[in-house]
Amino acid sequence: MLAIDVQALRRVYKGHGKQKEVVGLDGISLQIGAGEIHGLLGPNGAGKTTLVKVLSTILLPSAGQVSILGHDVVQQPKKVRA
Amino acid sequence: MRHLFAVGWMLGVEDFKSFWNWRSWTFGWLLRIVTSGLSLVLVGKLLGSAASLHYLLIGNIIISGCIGALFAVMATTWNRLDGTYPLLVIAPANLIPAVIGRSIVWMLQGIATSVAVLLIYSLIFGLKFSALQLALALLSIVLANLSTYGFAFFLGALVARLPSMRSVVFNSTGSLLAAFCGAAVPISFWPEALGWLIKLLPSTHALIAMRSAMAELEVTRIAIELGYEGLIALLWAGLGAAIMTYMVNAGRADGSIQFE
Ligand SMILES: Nc1ncnc2c1ncn2[C@@H]1O[C@H](COP(=O)(O)OP(=O)(O)O)[C@@H](O)[C@H]1O
Ligand SMILES: [Mg+2]
Repeated sequence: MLAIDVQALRRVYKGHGKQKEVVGLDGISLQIGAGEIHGLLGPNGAGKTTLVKVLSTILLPSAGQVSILGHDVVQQPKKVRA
Repeated sequence: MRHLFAVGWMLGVEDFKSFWNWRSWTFGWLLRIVTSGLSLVLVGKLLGSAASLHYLLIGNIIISGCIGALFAVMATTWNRLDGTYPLLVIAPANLIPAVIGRSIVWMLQGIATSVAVLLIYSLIFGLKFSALQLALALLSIVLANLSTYGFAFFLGALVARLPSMRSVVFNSTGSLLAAFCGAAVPISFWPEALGWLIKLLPSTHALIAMRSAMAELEVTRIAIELGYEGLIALLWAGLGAAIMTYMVNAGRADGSIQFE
């Protein structure tokens, strides 16, 4: 089973003032198996923190599917945290 | 879940120890609360009747503790300031037991304050209790502080995202309870339209119970009032828990939960 499975994840934030919305992540997909070690690189504002927040269940995706050890972060946040 | 409560409790004890030491608690807190209470009570004495003096004494015993328990308004929001909030949301256990574990130490402060004020007033004014009266008075004190804690937990949940409101709410709620719950003036002083609201506030029922315990000692009536006081505690704590849960969900949706 995959440790992390991200399919077409998108997250938009409400913008401030004139800016209507800010796209934090625009359709990212990745699969990470159990026990693998990876780095997450990108310039400021690339969406690294946004991704980690979605994976850790403190941020809901706007679109796409995310599961941790087979548990969906939207449907089963308690199982993801356990 | 039990584990997170225990960790919260340990943190709460540390909060308390960094807030007060025994000297500042005794002289900065207890002495201040006793002297401000005494000044009100002495007005009662000047006004003459022994009955009004006794009325104010009982009111002060309860309200002094409630002000102590209201520190929990601030304690329930500290996880927002010190960066532990996102970690508590992510934790496998529920956020709520951790918050209660950390803030309930202030309910104990309230109980200790009421008991100390009761002892001090007994010495100064010669309040006399039978064993049953003392037991019922202590039970009233415990339940008044329990429901004030529940109310503080509710208020803390409500103002969690408005840091500037915390001290305003903390400072004004004590006066609100003192004014409306029958501590300084009888409930009947207020317009009848406010009656239902007053009966929902913490300490109103406990005050009725304690006054009865000290006077006519109607045990059935006292039991009913104390039962109500317990329900008020559950009501406010339940509302607070619902608001806290709502805010976690709202924060996940709007992206406002931040790793510090
Ligand atoms: N709470 C937020 N509200 C509005 N926009 C945000 C919020 N968090 C991040 N963003 C925006 O989303 C984009 C990705 O940010 P972030 O995930 O923090 O990137 P990184 O961590 O890679 O620097 C940026 O354009 C950032 O301005
Ligand atoms: Mg970042």
